[in-house]
Amino acid sequence: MKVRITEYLDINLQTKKWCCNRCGYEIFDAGENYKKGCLIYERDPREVHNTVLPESEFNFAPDPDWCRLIEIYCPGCGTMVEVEYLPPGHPLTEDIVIDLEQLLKKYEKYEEYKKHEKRGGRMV
Amino acid sequence: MPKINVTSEYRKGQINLGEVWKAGYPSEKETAYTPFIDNGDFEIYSRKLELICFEARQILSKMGTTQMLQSGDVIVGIYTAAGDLSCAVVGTHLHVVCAQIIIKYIISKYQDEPSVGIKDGDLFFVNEALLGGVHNPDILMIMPIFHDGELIAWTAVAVHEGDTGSIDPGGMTPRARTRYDEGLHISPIKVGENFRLKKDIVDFLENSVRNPRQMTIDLKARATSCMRVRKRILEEVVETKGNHFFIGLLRKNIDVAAEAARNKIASLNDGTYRTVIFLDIGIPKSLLKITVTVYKKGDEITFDFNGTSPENREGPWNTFAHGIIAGSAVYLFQYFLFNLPNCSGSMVPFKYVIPEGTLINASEDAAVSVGIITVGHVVFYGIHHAMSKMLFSSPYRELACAGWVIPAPPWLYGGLDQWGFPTAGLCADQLNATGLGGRPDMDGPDAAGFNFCPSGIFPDAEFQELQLPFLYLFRNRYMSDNHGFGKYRGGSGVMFAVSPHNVDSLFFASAQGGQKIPCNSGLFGGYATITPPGIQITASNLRTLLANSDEGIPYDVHELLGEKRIEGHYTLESLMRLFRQINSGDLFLMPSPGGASYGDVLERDPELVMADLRKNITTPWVAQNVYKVVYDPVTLRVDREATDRARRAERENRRKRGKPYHEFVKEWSQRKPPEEILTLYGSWPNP
Ligand SMILES: [Zn+2]
Repeated sequence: MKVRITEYLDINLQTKKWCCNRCGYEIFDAGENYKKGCLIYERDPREVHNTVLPESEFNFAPDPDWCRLIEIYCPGCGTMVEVEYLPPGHPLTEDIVIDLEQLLKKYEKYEEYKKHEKRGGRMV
Repeated sequence: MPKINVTSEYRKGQINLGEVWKAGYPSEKETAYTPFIDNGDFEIYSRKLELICFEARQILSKMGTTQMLQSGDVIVGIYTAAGDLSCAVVGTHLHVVCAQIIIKYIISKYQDEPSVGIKDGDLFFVNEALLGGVHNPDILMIMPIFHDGELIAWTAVAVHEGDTGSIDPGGMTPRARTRYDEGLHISPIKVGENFRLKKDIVDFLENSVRNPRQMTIDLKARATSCMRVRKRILEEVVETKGNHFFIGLLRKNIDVAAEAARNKIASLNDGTYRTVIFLDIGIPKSLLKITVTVYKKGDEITFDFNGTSPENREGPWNTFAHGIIAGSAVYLFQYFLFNLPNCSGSMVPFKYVIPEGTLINASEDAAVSVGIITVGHVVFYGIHHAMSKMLFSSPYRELACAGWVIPAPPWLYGGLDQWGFPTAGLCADQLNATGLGGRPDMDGPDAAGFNFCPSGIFPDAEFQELQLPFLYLFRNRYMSDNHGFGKYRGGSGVMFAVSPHNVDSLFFASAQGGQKIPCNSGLFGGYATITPPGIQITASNLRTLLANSDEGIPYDVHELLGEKRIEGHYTLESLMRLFRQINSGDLFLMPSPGGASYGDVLERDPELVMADLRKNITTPWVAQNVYKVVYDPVTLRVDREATDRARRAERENRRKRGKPYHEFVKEWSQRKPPEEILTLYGSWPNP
């Protein structure tokens, strides 16, 4: 059984892995930072955030000396699962650490309940 | 308690703010009476209390004159005899936390103090941020409610006032370095006794600020609201159902909310959720870092802010710890606790770790007047995104939204108005037209409001021009591309330009960071919103163009900057702008930015991109380069197959250009920002 954790990430309760919700690619151990199994790309934020007056220091777009756009992709399908806006060199954020033990227990109960009641619950 | 002043009490820990912002234990009476409130009566009368507050809020908004009051950034609350909030109608949920700290202070300090005491008909005035307000422009009026000589409850109203007698107009000057630059700091005093305002105290307050007429009118509005709440409670609840019923009802509101909040939390996945945010601020600018870590276990949530930059004395962007708790309430009651009452019970399961010596737990003499709207906004956003990452995998998935825009910039004005009277204040315009964040199921609403006050009103342009010496050159068009791009984009905001009108000049300032690095990345692969600068045009020929009804007068910022049809001296700068004189005919621009976005841009329905092109919310550059939509530029008809191909190719490109994590980190970790932008940051990378 897979539990959906974010828009693009599932946790497979059997294999205890982060998986891509779009293509099923097995990304990384669910007890670890999923970003370790992703592809990371750094870019100048102005490639996405267009400037209004490019010659001005203040031009509506982030300043590439202060800020780099970090895109985090699923290696299987290239879906952008997360982005970060970081000063150059700042460590990536471990943004989600799921308590796997609690999650497993919760869905064990859920599965039992489904079998017992013979009625489908909403997949969450 | 020895008679010492508020700052030294705070410094010595004699004002214990650690727990007083949340509901205390029930009193003996409350414990005795609560079980006898039957569910039917509970439904009817808890709603009745809300309606009483609602009416008082309407009275306040209609009588008062300050910008934030008219737009609805207020609270009217009913508190237990011990000072716990039981029921409130709010514009901004900040005050759900605030007033009860002050009431508890009044009780502990003055109830048994023979020279003060607490009596029927008293009206307390307070604006001391150390005692629970978020900054000193927030002025509260607090009234005890007695029945048969017994103190049974309190009512309080809070409103942001236009001036505090600070070193610059508006009470929120970017020039402030300590609390002594920020004007009045009034610990609770009786501005009224025997149900009447006291002339000597009102005169003192009038005499202390730049806009005395507004101070008095708004004092009267607050007093009227308090007295209306008191009168209706006594006549419609206490005298019909009994004193014991009312006391039990107030407590039951709190207990039921606390239980409901615990149940909601228990349904979420246990885990740790984190947001790291950077704010560029100051003159000169420096990076600041704010870390929000949310620990969820069982039926409790802890917000931990370790990893936040140290307090600094370069400006007024620090906050007190209770300001941060108040900021969390703004998120919680808008999203996760949206269906629970605005009361202290709802916040019982939340804990806070706010390290001392950081920006967000500043020392007692720090300047904080701009803190809640700069650093506080960022904290609010950090909580929002960390909570959204928790809520997606829960029964509350629809609440897993991207954040409001950060930053919404405060815009301050001062001078003489068109009738020659002194005027000063914080404008409500630009705050109340920002965009909401993208959602799991739809775009964020455009020009949705103000993140601290979602029910607030974007004031009517004609009404603003009537009461203030302003002429809006433009204000009513969305600014294209000023939101985050994503599967569901952030709501669009606007940008507007104002010129002093029917006066020779006015003084304007704004106080915000976020021009170098966005404070709000999007959610789940969505992009951040815009980083708008401050703009002004001086020595302009606008008056001539207007006199000639010139066809070329620009109607939005792209026309203004792109075509430069107005002649003059253009300045693009940080939004941290000190007060400057702007003459009639010159222009001062303020952004009201859009929200952050949700999800991967390549998943956005191409038809939604075309709809945005038609409304000028998105530019063709973004449609083609960011969303990768192929379309006919004349008919805006989408070429589905070519779009699919372009998007497939972009996904392939990502897979090619992306590096494995460890390879990326190896190179990335060797880099560091220039030292000159880390002056206020603390130790790199973890302050
Ligand atoms: Zn994938």
